[in-house]
Amino acid sequence: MPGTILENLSGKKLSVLVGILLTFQLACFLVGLIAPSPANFQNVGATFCVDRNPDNKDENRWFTRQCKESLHDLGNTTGLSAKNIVFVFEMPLFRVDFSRWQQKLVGMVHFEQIYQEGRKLTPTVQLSIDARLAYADKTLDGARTPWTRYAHAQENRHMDCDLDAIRDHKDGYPYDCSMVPLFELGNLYHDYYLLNVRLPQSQNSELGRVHDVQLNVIFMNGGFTKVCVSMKTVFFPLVLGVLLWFWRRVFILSRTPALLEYMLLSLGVTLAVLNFPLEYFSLYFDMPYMLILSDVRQGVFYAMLLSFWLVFAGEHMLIQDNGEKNCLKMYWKHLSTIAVGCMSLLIFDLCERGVQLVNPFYSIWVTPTGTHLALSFVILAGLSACMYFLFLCYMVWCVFKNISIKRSVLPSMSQARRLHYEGIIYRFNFLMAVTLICAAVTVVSFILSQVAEGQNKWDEELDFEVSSVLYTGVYGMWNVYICGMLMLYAPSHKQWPSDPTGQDGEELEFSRLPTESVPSEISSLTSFATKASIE
Amino acid sequence: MKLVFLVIIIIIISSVSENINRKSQLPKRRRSFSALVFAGANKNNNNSVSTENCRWLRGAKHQRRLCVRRKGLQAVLLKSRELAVDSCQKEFEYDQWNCKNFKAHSNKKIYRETALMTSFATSALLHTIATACARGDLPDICKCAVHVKPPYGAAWRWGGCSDNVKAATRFVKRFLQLNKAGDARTDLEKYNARLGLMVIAKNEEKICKCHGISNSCTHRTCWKRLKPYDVVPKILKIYYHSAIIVSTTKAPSEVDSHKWKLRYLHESPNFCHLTVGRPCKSRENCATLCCSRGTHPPIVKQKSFWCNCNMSSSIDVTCKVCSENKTVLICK
Repeated sequence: MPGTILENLSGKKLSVLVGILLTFQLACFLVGLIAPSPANFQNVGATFCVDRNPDNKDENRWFTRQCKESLHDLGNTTGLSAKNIVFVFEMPLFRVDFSRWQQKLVGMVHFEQIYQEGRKLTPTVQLSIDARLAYADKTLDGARTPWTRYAHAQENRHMDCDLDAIRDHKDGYPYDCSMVPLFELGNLYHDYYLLNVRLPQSQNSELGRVHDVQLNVIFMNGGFTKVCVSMKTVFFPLVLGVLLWFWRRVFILSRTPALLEYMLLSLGVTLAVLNFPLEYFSLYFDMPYMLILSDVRQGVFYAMLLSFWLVFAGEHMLIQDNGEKNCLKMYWKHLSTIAVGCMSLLIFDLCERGVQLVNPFYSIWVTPTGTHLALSFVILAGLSACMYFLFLCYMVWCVFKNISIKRSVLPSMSQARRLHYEGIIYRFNFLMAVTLICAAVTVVSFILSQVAEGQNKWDEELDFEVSSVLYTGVYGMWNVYICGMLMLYAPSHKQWPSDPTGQDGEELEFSRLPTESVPSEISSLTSFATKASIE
Repeated sequence: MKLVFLVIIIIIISSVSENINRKSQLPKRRRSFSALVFAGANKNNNNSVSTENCRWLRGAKHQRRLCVRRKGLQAVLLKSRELAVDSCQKEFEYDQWNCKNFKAHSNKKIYRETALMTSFATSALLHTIATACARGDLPDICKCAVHVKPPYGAAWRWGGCSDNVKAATRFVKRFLQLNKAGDARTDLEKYNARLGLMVIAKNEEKICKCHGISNSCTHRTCWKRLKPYDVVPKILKIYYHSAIIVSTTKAPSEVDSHKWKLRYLHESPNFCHLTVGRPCKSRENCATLCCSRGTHPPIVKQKSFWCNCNMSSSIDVTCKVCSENKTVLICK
């Protein structure tokens, strides 16, 4: 029975392979150096336009920065009511236009209010916002097409206000409330966007006197998207190639593929799907569902990776209850934690981003029912993640315990066999360590990128962005990791009986073990376990 | 013929002497930006006469040139002047020096007050420019990706624009020539100006937003929001009280700038003569403000204020006018 490549590969070849993979890994980190930060923002101040005809229900009436009648500030609004004032935001600023490489647009508004004496303040302010979004495109001669309606919605939001700051202050003093998330666009198909915000008179009784309104938009940096998509373009054919090679290897065997091989194959397929540079299509087609699609792609990949770890640990448990193994059903308890977690996240995602396809102003968090629903999904996902890690840790602990027990039997074996098994255990441990290192690097880079983003990097002009280096590095790492798994865990083509002795120490191969009986085992580690249990 | 010759000589001599005069006047006429800011407010806020031009910057060649050349800057500069003067006067309403003593600037001395005015002018300038940038009012100043020459399209598509406050800071530094070395005196002025910029930078609020997978924090973007200017005068007042006197020879270096202190060269004159006839608010305040001259007998004045405000919307508020008798104390 042939083992996997991992066991049959000489130390020299293994080191060459690891070297190649590490070079790829290093390249991924280096690629991140040229990328700008993943996302950027723009702060857009409102232009206050006066709508003399607020009851006009025409959906295609747009106020732009060059509106007929505008106010310098909101200090003097005599003769005007809230429905006369339109807050106008044009995006982007500075005579540039959005590029489709910029992927998405998230908008938040901040209402600056001033305190008026004699007014009762509430810590949470309920807001009712009438928001309209329009788009325009650049024509060939540099002009703009007329503004066209994108969406119109009347939305409720709430903001939390810091009342302590104004306790000892007087009339006319500004006070701080939190920012309000307003809209989210899944792709940036158009060149210019225009937002008209009105505050309907009747519903905004808790809002203080509005002094200024700011809009903050977040979008992905085109350079970052380009770097990511180029990485995907390189990795996609590579992963596909490794995948095909792996599958051919499995299929030329006379036996049916083992569970771990199926798992590896599906993991490779989800990675290939994740690597598929779908972003190219969004450059030519209006695909507002890009956000959901990328969420789902990543979600499926993570679910598969987590399941793979479980099965990997389970298959190396070294306890063989013959007949029951090699079957997904055995892992239903463990896998259901992943399924429950991922399903609840998927439902949550569809509830928020799915509705945003129709109404970009929609948010699940504004209504109490929505908040409860969203929270319960998120908590459910968190709980199943905890359950999962408990299961995984328990299984890994079992594996290591079994290995140490079996290791104590090793000295009683013949030297050749002992060397062989020691090698296998060493490489298994090595791979476990690699997994742990990958997981640790991911966690650390996540924390680092959070810290880097949170720190005051505003004064120093860094030549590279820590968060994008970490992002490309970690993305590349999982690619390299899975490619390595596919290569090392592919069945070896070397038929042991036909090549019975090791040649000049170049290939450490040994005669097949006499007691091996289970035909579908994929590694001699598991066969070793069987043997050990028989002994 | 002789007469003509004489006339020509006289003309030449007079023009030369005029030139000499002008040359000798030139350094005198060069005035700092903050001096101009606060000098403009001297004329009892009737600066509407000279609005929409850069004439008030006469004497500051570099600043005036930029004011004329940059689209939209005129209005913003006037607005920043108004903000600096108003907020300073409001903050020092009940102090001996009430931000109205402009003699502090005339004789080339740097008093504690001069230093403060420099910081006020700079911070207000930065604040108004950053705000105007966000509105798109200053297309020449708040450019996208500052390191790149136009057209900015490629840089914008690659890495986006820089933060408005950053761009505004860069411009203010250029506008006030803060990176240009000068003599020790102007260095000190520039240091105080930088303190004004620092106060604005510290007054920014950091806001973060997660926008990764399912809005988790796999991607998080933070930015800084410029808070309203109202807090800045209070912070600057603290710096005013903790200001230190320095000798001209020792120019403050960037190294020890983490211990920001307002720095001045000369001890302030006595401001007691300025407080005659000014209102004071409490017993303690009156004692210091009136320089132990005491107050006039209290006058009871009816003060009206807004009360029972009813918000019909966030824009219009209907309030009732209530009135209250208030005793007003005025320095002798």
